[in-house]
Amino acid sequence: MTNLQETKPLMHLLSATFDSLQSATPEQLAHNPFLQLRKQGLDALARTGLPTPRDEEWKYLNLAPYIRHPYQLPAGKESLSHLPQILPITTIPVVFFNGLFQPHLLSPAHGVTVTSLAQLLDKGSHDGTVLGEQEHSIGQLLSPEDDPFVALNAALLHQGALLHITQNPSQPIYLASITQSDQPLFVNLRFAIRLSTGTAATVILDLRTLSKTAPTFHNIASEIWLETESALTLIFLQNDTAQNYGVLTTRIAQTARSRSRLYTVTAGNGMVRNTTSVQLNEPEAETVLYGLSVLRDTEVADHHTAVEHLAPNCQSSELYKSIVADQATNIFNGKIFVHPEAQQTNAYQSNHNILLSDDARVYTKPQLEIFADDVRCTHGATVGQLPQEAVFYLRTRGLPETVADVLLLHAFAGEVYEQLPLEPLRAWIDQQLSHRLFDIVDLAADRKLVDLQFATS
Amino acid sequence: MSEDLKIIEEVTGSDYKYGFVSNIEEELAPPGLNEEIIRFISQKKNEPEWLLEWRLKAFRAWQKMKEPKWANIHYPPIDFQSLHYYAAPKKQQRPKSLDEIDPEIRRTFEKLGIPLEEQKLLAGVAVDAVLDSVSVATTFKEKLAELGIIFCSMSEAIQEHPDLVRKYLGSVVPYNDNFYAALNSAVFSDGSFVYVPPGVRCPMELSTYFRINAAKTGQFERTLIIADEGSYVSYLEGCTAPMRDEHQLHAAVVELIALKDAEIKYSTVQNWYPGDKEGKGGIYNFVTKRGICKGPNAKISWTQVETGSAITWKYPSVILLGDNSVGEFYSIALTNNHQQADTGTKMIHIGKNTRSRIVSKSIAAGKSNNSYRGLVRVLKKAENARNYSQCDSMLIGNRCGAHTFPYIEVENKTATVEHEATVSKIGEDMLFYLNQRGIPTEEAVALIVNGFSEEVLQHLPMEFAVEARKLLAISLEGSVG
Repeated sequence: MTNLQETKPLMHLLSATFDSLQSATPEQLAHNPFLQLRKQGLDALARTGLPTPRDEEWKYLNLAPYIRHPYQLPAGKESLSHLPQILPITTIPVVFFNGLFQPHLLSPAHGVTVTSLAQLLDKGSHDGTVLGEQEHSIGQLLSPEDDPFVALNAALLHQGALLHITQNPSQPIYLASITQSDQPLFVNLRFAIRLSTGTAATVILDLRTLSKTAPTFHNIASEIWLETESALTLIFLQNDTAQNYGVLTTRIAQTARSRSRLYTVTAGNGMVRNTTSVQLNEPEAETVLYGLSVLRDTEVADHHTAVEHLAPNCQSSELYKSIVADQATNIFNGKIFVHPEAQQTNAYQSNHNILLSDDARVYTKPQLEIFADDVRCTHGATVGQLPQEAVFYLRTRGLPETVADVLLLHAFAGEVYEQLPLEPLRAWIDQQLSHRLFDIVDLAADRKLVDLQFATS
Repeated sequence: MSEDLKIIEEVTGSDYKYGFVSNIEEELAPPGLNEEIIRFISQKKNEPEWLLEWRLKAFRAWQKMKEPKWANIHYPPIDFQSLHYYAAPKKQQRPKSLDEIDPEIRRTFEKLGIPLEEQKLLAGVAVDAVLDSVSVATTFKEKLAELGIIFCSMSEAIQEHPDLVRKYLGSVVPYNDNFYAALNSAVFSDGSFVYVPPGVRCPMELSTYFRINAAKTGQFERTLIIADEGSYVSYLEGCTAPMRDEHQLHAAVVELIALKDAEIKYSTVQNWYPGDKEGKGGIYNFVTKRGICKGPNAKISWTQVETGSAITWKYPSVILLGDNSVGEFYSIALTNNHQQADTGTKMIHIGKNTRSRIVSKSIAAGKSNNSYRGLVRVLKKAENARNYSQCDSMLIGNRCGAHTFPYIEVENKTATVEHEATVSKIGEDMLFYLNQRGIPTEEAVALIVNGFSEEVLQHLPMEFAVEARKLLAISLEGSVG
């Protein structure tokens, strides 16, 4: 325990876990998988500590400013009387308010079984499986050894949800964390989602904070299983406010002919780290990953993706784009692994970035590791600015410079989400982003004006 | 002496193919590394005090460093205390002409085809031949001297041009840069030194043949090339090594300095002993190569063909400090059997309007692993920086691996950086087409690989390009069918 001194950031959160493990008898420990997972998490954290920029996987992200706050875990019984209208669509709401599950907001939905993890734990149940199958249980896909934040998530294991989709739900499932607190809040959530054979579902994972004064730090780990011929659309919304930080670790395991489609929109949260990995375990599985960052001020977005091709005839494609203004930073690391058995793999990846300010930064690392020879794999990455010819063309047609810039940036960004299946949601995202782009460009124009005045005076 | 030589010749002459050991009396320092050995090396080479101090500083820094483990390569731990850090052919005095050179050494060079002979003068190649650590012969010196070009061994440069050496040695690769560079700085034995004065265009390709010879001798070459304002030089480096069972360590350092308007072209063909088919033996090639475009409009171009070595681990880099300077990197890395390569480049854009271009072709066959690892970094002040990178990999068989690790770091909005990578294999239809025209499969593969590599090969000087093409074919022998 020497490494878990309370003086280190976030480590004070672990005292309850530590106590619960101290008081547990060896017999309890041996038979309770949840306790084991907590212990593994604690042990892994004691060994590695939280990541620093010296860790290759966390090279460009300095967490220090985000974890230094005196965060508290949710306490007591806080409840949200009704779900605020955030999205323009009706959903099946699985909502956590200040880190606590809100079962009263959830009305029974056809084809979806939702189990509260906290309820299981409090009842003393030892069953962390999604519908009783050992292979689909919490901790099967994400091991505390994988990453320090997964370890932290395991050590703090309490709140979360197990979702089992047995038939196509009529509405998208809205997994939301909403916070409102005067104190810095640490929200630790664990999700396990299983799509049965042949089902199709849309899941939206949204992080919102209504508090203006104190930051919220989200640490969310999700394990997702796609059975044969199932299809999942997973949408990450990270367009909240600057005081909302998040580390999201997601792993998807796919079986034969399953399809996953992921959209990540990062445009507002102060710091977001997405560690997303997809395992294509059986033939003809398919995954598509879309990501868009539109960043300003000192926002940081860090997208780490890994696609593992473990079986023949699978397909993956990935498109990540960023527009970075002010002092913001966008980090992208995309890995593609093609294992020796994964012949006839098609894997594409591209990453495009536009820098709008001299203080903005882009770090990108597209990475391929190929062990099979009959494959088609390509990746491309670019960093640049708006083509002046295109801006000029639009200006000759009478568009003011700001409008021309926004038009071009909007087109650049649009490619990422134009395929999004829920039209009202797509339109809402589009509108939010347009506003943001106008703000960014307008400010840049103001600054140019100020620079000019300086130059002439 | 002649009696001894005859016996040795009988024993060795009969049995060598590509790898061979030339039997020259060698002076070996006892194995192990400590300050004593460094003092011994420095004293042997009659070095000035400041250089000894520099070596010791490097050694102390090295002692505090940890062996790097991040590269995508695997090898048993190296026992640095069991290596010999100094091996030099014994000699009574410095040879004044070719005739004075030990005939055994001459024969070795002939086997390697190094044009030391008079008639080779027509080939237009000046050679600074390095046989284990100490330069034994330098030709064309007079001709170069007329133009004011200095081309000599490092030890000679230390004696005769100490000011230049002191000014530039370690200025691009500091003594504490990395584990192997520090080791090299502490124990480097010899290497080449080139200085091209302002406005001079070096009329011939300068070339060095490195050879690793004595068993268990790590070779620590140090090369320093300085192109003064408005000058041009093209430098070739090529390597062969004798058959060996034990792994040999090669940790060289190459520093290039291009001042205002100067251009340096550095070409390497590396075909050291890669180990046998089971992966036994072979050279460890852990090299630090870096150039700096110090003044405006300078240009540094690295071209490399890496076919040999059990492990190749190097990143020839360019620091683009001067405005409008240009950095280029053209590479072919071919691995077969159990070879491993982790190679690439770093382009650091600091000056305005700097441009860089990276073309990397890697070919993996057998059970080998081939990684491209590169960094393109555009710093805040580097207005209008431009980079284009292309990394293509070809896999032959399904037991090998191709890896790409490109790092792109941009801190200036006017930068334009492009990177693309593809992975492909030799198509059956291509082979079928060539077979149909009566070309055997092995030749067909060589042909396809040559085509794949063409973009890089065309950047090699003529003589090297011919050799490189042959090398690619030889290295792939037995990889198909």
